[in-house]
Amino acid sequence: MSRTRTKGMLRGIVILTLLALLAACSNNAGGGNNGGNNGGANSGNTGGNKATNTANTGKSDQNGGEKPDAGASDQLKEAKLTFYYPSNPAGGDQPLVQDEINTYLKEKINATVELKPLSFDEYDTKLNAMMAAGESFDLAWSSRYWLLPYQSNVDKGAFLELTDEMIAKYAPEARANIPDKFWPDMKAVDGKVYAFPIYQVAAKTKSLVIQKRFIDKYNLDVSTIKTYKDIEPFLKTLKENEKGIVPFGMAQNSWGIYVDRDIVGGDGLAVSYAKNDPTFTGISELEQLDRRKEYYATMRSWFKAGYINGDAPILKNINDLKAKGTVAVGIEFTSKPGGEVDEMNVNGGNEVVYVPISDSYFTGISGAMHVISKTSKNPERTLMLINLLNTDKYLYNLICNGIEGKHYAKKDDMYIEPIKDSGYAPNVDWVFGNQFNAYLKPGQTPDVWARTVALNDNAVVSESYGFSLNQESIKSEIANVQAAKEEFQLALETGAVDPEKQLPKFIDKLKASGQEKIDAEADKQWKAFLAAKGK
Amino acid sequence: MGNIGLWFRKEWKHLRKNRELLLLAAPGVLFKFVIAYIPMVGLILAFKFYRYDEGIFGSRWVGFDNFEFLVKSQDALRVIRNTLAYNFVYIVLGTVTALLFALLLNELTGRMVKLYQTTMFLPFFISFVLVGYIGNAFLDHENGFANNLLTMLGFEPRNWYFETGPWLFILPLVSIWKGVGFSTLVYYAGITGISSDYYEAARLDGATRIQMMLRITLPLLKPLIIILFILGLGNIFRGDFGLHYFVPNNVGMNYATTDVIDTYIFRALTKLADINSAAAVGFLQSVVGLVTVIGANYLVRRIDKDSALF
Amino acid sequence: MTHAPSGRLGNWIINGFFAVICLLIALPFALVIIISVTSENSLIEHGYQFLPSQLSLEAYQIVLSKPQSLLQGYGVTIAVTVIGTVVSLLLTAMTAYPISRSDFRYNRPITFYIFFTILFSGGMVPFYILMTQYLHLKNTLAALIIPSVLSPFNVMIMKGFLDKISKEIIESAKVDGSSELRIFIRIILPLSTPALATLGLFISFGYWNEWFNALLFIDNDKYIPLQLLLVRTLAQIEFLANSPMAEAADRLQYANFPSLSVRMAMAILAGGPMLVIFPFFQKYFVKGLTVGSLKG
Repeated sequence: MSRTRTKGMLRGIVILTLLALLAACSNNAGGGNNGGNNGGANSGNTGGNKATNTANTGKSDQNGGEKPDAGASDQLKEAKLTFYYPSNPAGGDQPLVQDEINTYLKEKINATVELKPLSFDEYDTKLNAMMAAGESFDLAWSSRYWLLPYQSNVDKGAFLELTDEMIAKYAPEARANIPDKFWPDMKAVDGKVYAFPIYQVAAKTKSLVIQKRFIDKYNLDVSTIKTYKDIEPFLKTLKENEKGIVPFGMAQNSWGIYVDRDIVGGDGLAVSYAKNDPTFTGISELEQLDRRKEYYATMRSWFKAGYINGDAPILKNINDLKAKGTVAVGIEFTSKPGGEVDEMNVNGGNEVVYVPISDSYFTGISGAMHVISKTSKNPERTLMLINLLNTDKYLYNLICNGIEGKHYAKKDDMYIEPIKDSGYAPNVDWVFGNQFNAYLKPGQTPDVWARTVALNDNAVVSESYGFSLNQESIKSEIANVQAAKEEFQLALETGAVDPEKQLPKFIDKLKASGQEKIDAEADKQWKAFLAAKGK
Repeated sequence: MGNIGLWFRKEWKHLRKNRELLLLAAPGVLFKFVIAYIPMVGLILAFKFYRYDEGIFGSRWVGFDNFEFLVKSQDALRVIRNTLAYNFVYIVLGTVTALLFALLLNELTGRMVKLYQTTMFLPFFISFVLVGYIGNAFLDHENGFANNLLTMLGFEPRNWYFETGPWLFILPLVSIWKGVGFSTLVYYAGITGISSDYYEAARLDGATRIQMMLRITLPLLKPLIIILFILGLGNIFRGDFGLHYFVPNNVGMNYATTDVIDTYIFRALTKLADINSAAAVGFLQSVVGLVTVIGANYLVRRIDKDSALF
Repeated sequence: MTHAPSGRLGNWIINGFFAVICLLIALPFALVIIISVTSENSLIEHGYQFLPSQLSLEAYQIVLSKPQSLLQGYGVTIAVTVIGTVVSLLLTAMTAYPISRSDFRYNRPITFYIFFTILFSGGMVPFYILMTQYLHLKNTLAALIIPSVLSPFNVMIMKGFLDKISKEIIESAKVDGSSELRIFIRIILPLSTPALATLGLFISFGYWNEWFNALLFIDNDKYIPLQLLLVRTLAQIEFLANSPMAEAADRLQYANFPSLSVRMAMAILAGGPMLVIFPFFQKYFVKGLTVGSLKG
């Protein structure tokens, strides 16, 4: 038995070797150009390719450094750039618009750009494959928590560092638009900057969204509502008097009205600290969870009383429920200027009112960014393109709205009217550049950008901006904690389970998954950060 | 030395003797080498921290770091248990139902057979995302058909998604619903390939339909059954992500009986975009699959040498 | 096969059994069709119903609003499916036949060699590098065909089918002096028509539904298959209807968009043509082929 097995294996090995030889031969014959690339640098095929790519970028970096005076466009060699971004299908006229853009760009910076829009589902997959393969491209769109996430791709070495000198040299105008106090948000864990922000709404306020017809009917004085708890009597009234109305609507993508006005931080920030604490001592996740006990109990009582829709933890999308127009009170996380108009359409045409229940807090400018690939052959020209996209009103509106008269009609200095089915309508202004340069479309108020700027400027900027957690040593703990959170958080937040029983289980699981280790590490890094800042 | 030389000469003779069949298999074998074996260098990513700018070979080795989170996970036992148990149920239940259906279909002739086959195959078209929506139509606790039926019969409606018990039955049911048409077709094709001479001979001997089914059809299907069984075992450590993610709606309250390795990994790693840990888990799943398959194949070999897969 | 008259009753029972089973299986599928023609209002008001209160073809109108790109998508998909299925069937049978022969000295190692690729794969990254940088298949139809042209799963199933072919047939052909290639083409392939038809069905389904390779390897709109077009349309709808990033004006337009019925309509439009392909292959599920019938 065993003898036949060894023989079988030997046979297998012989065949494999023969095949390997064959394959090697054919590879050598066919891949002459690859062989050239490999010459001397790295062993291994892919390694060789990578090496050439990094060598290229290295070279162009040097070029940028060595010739400080090569600013004027006539001295620049023509560059062909590629720009990948998430978008809706733009329509058949994209080549036309691209030609128009290139005519302009050639004159300005002697470059042409190839537009490569990808749908939202494809964007990450395709870019990850391309970057992992070291494929050459220039410009892409990134975000802090959404598509092409910033930090993890910085960790993987996908993006090119944008030094202060580079920015000062190639994108000074665009940089001048960004308030200095916001800039630290662009820093990655290592303190370096790898992206250029696309300036837009950067402040958020948590609000309750209340249908106006109920406010009027029951004479609700919205100025008395400061926190989630203040809405309870109103929900009770609704439950008792309005049949078929969901007093408080929640879903898998809409939960978390808890606000602790004594704390700076909370959702999405690396650390939280008490507002009145001059030492900025970090408050750990477990402590924060402890503070939420009462909140979870309230949610539970709401759920049992029928204020919250019974399928809240199952419902994927709150808009499916809101569309019925039966959600009396909902949750809004951004509350951007003019948002109530959108919200009305989502709520089956019922007018709504935002009632803020949190301070307006700064959420960072890294929600939308341009990044330059490490494989880019023309990083400095790409940065010049970024500069234009964020400052040049003509270029920006051309790439957003298409050609005047063909894809949109100009109504006055500020307003345009898109032409229906014109063949170019990507509808993604926020991937192209500074939105404050955009023409206004019907439905937008004339002061929308002014209000947004004011909102940004007045937002509370947390002490922790510029700080992000280095996750290297706590990677596995974070993964497991994340899994535990998904198991319990939603059920607790929607009141679907009894916090008396489930909260202790949740806490136990967090601890067992290493939450304490994460908290300790975060605290350590936070203290070091503060110390470095001199606080 | 001489021994090896002798062995080579002997093997060369065998190669020549088998050259025609070898040549027939060669395109497929070569193709797999290029398209499947060469990219397997990527398996080393399970032991590395992959940086794009350093490449697959240049990236730094991290040993077993990428496996750490799975080892430390509080849910590891739960998801492994669920994965193995469900897969076992799917394999056994799927095989038995499909065989039964195929044998019964074989007893029929004419148009109806085609109608049945086509109907049973329909669910194969639908993605699990859609299956999730359809499931919701049945299990929704306000408007769902299941609860409407319960109330009509005078029972209390249930919160299906909040409970753990029902999923032990719902998931296998959905799995069968979606897959039975496929496997039935495979077995049916296997049966139709059986030469009718066997049946003629049996009929002359006065065999009944049941006897022919058990004495001729089933034994001749054995190799096919074993192959499909072993193929199933190869994936014993891989949870069916679509089925276990979209159908129970990813609700924490039913994880105890729905969470499998693949859904857990998705939950834990998506936010971190940690491809190395994902590769590590994939590697582990492959190794367990390999061990299971080799074990099963060994057992089959012991019992009946000709039926073993390799 | 003809059955003895005593089997009548049995036939009725079996028919009844399948009628019930098929009804149960078709019921959820019917729901997909019904939702696709239910109006959005009635979905919002009453949820899913087998008898919708209001019918609407809006979902189909939306999906079919750009017939040109859709037709092109169908064209690409059909080309890929037809070419892919033919090549794949031939390659699968060629690979499976030798390893189904117990007298082939290398059958077990090669079986294991093929089977191993079911268990282990290098992942997307190296595969992408191979396809784009070494095989240079980006933006070619071949990139849509090659990745799944030889599924180890299908090879194993084919081997299972071929295992049953009696050795005597092959032996006698060999005595007649036929070469292995001739035996394969003249005897084995015709004898395994039902098996080839079944696999052909699976393979064509696979190609028909494939979109991930297109996502990775195709930049050129000319080569976008149907399924990827649909995936994209869906992504756009989801985004415009729900994302806070979407513009006010667009959300206005899409807030009442029948996204659920559009999903279902897409599934029908994408899958529908397969109902034509199914009977085509079914023709070849012929029972009880023998060598005798080949010669006749």
